[in-house]
Amino acid sequence: MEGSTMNLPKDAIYGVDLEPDAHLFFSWVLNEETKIKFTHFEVLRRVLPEGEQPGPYDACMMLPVSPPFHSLIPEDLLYDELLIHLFQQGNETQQTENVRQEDTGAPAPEAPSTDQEQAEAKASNEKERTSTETPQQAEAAPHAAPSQQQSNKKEEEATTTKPQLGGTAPAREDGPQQKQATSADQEQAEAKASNEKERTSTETPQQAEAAPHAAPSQQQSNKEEAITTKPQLGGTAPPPEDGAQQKQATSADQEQAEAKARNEKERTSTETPQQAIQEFCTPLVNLPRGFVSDEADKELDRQTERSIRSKTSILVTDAASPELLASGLLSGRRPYASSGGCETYLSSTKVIQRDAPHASCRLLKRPFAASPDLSGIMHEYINGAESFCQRAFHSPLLTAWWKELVPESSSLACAKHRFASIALPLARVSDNLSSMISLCHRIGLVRGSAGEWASKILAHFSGKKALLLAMAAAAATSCDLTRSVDDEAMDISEFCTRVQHFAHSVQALFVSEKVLELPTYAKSICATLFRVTLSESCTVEWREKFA
Amino acid sequence: MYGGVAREIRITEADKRDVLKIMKEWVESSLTVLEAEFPAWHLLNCFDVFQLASGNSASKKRATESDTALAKLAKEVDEAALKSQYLSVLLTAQALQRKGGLDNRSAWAETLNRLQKTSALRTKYPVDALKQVIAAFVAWTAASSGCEQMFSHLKRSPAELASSRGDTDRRLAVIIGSDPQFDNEIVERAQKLYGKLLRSGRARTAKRQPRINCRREGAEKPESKRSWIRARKKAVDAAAEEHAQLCTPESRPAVELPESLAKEVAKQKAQEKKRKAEAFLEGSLLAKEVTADVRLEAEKRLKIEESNDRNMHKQYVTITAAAQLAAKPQSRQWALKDLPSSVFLLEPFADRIFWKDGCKPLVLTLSLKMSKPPSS
Repeated sequence: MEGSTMNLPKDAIYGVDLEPDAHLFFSWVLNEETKIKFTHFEVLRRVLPEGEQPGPYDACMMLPVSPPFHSLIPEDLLYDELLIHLFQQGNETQQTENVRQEDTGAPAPEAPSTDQEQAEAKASNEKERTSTETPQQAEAAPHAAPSQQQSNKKEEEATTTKPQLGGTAPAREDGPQQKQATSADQEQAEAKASNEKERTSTETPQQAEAAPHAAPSQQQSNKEEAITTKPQLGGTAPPPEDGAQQKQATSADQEQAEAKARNEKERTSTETPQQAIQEFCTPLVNLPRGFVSDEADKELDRQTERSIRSKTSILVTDAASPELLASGLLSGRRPYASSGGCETYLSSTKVIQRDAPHASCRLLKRPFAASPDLSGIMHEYINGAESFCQRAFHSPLLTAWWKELVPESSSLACAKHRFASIALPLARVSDNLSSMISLCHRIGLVRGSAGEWASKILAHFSGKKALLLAMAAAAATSCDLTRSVDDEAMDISEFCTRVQHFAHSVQALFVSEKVLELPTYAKSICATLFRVTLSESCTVEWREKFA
Repeated sequence: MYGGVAREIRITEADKRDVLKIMKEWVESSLTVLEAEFPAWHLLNCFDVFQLASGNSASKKRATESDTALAKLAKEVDEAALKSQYLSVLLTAQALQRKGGLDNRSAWAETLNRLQKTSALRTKYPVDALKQVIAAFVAWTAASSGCEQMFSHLKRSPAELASSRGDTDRRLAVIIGSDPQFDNEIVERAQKLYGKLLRSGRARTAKRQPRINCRREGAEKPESKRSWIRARKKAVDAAAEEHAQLCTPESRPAVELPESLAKEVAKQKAQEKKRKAEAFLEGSLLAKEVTADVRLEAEKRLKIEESNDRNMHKQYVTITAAAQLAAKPQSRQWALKDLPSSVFLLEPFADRIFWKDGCKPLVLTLSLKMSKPPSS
């Protein structure tokens, strides 16, 4: 069990100038029966004798506001939970007060529906109470609603501190509270002791139970209500100033939303394909727009469904582990987490095939990422945040300048999340390297500090980088395997041939070094002389390095 | 240039050597990924025996590896029958493809239909075993992209099924129908039904007409970019074919890899091992392909999966209990049951707590710093 404390800012609970401080003790506890972890709360509130001004950092008496309460909420919702708890505490106190007024013959006020009505009702109750209620009853309402506490700060302090001090023995002489004790306090304590005697002789058992810290049974029943109306796991806590009816409405809405979410989750990934197959086998169900059908017969064709189930021998899925797990569940190879049983709907499945286009993307993606040189050049020119392609594509001005230099070339768009899309920007940059250098020079010259990235590219430009860029483009364009297999209607007898063709292509190009002989981007670049210039405004360090 | 710095950059021989070294490393690691993602022993690769092209590499491969491939495909049919039926029908299918200009799948399906028309042909060419494998060949696919593409088709088409392709219809007919000879009939009837039901005038034609080339492309311009790209592709394809013929048997020179690439290669080899174990568990490996390592890895995979399933069940129970608790509020007595003692009594707060004789136990005195000084 781990314990800790947390100080809550006072304005988070009662307002800026009402309560000096409140402390929340919490700990993580484990219910042995259910093995569920709870957040164990104990809310303490600073209590001072009547009339005493609190010192800023002096010792004080901390009294528990309520019995400890427990919740399943995570640690980061502590504040919200505490606010809810204090708000409910206020409502419970209000209800207790109403019950007590009924016992003493006072007219019970109607439950206020809004904050304003509630405040008005409380104000009227307060007037009535000051005229009719006994000191015992005044002591028995220490936990009024926050709004009431805000409006009657000093009275509230008096009523809250009295029973706590009176109901218990004064602090020890050597305790820190003794330093603050005054003669006035002693007089008050004596007066409270006499009140206590009177109360024990006059109040009914129900009234005695209504006292906040004397008997816990009333609080217990109130606490049960508090637990039942507490916002549920993951729910957003309503603000404490909302009315009771509004809170009940929001909690009902939350319950409905949670029930809906649970129903959605229960539609597991394996039920959806089953439903799709059954709908497919039911004539005239889910008709597309434009269809008109007068036939009312919409019965499931069991024979067709059986045929599909028995003939489905392959499940094609992406290679992500959740999707593979879903296929495993659907084919009956993996058990359900809920029941431990296996699915029998598509039990004739023999193969779970990983999606070939996704697999072919990894031919470029993984080795490019693992090679420091290739990943560096890709980051610098194609897909980095400061790269040439990303900068030029996302700026309309630079795109226009690029169009001026290379009218026939299309955009430098590169979707970073789709690796197969790098072939085009790589090819376009490699094919127009001189134009790229001109554009970078123009950007560095015209844009000043905003074009520093372009000057940086020019300063670090080298023959090796140019050639590497061209060869990376040759590698990416050789990997047209993705495009050829990215078709559901692809003839799978040609699948092996295409894969082998890719292997032979890259070996012929780079292992046999044909890339410098065949008409490729690399061969074109080898015959090019690049004239790179850095302007005067460029950083001195780069210029020195460049020169 | 006013105050600027200029430099001429030319690609040197040293640059070429360096860059070629980097690319050779890439080739090595890329081929390792290729072997992991598209392993030669995979069941899908066995369907290449149905490739009817008469090229050198295709026929050579068919001669050497068809027995192994057919043995793998004969999972639920008699292996000897499948091989004999395949060889008896192969020449007919090749001739049909050559004359009719059909693709592989259409040629095989058409061949089976023709050979089942008369009882004499059925007796001479029994295809009961081959028919099942051909059905898988026609219907199976290696890509799930059709599903995703269909979503976009459905979204943009006012008459959704009008965007469906003929191949999709054919594969659906294979999986719905009981006999291949009725596949075409099913497709035709479905299309007629579609046209009848859709009264808006939209209808899917049985055969899609090729689009008219509005651009009216003339003769190819040798200096254009497009022709350069075509020439590059043609040259690379020729180099690949040449490389395939020269490297028999295929071998790769050893390449010393940097640390990061070596790690990637090791990871991919482990991945391939894992997938071979999965194929063994699926039952799609031949006995000669199953080594002791594969069995060991398969046992390991089974244990991992069992462990994962157990953990998932535990998580499910925990999360479900939490959700039920959140949905169904419990009583205060239930919440307070068997909980530890108050946190007040725990260290390090115990030294700050003291009790007065006769006082009630909920009152205590603490010395705590306030989070904020009072605003008074």
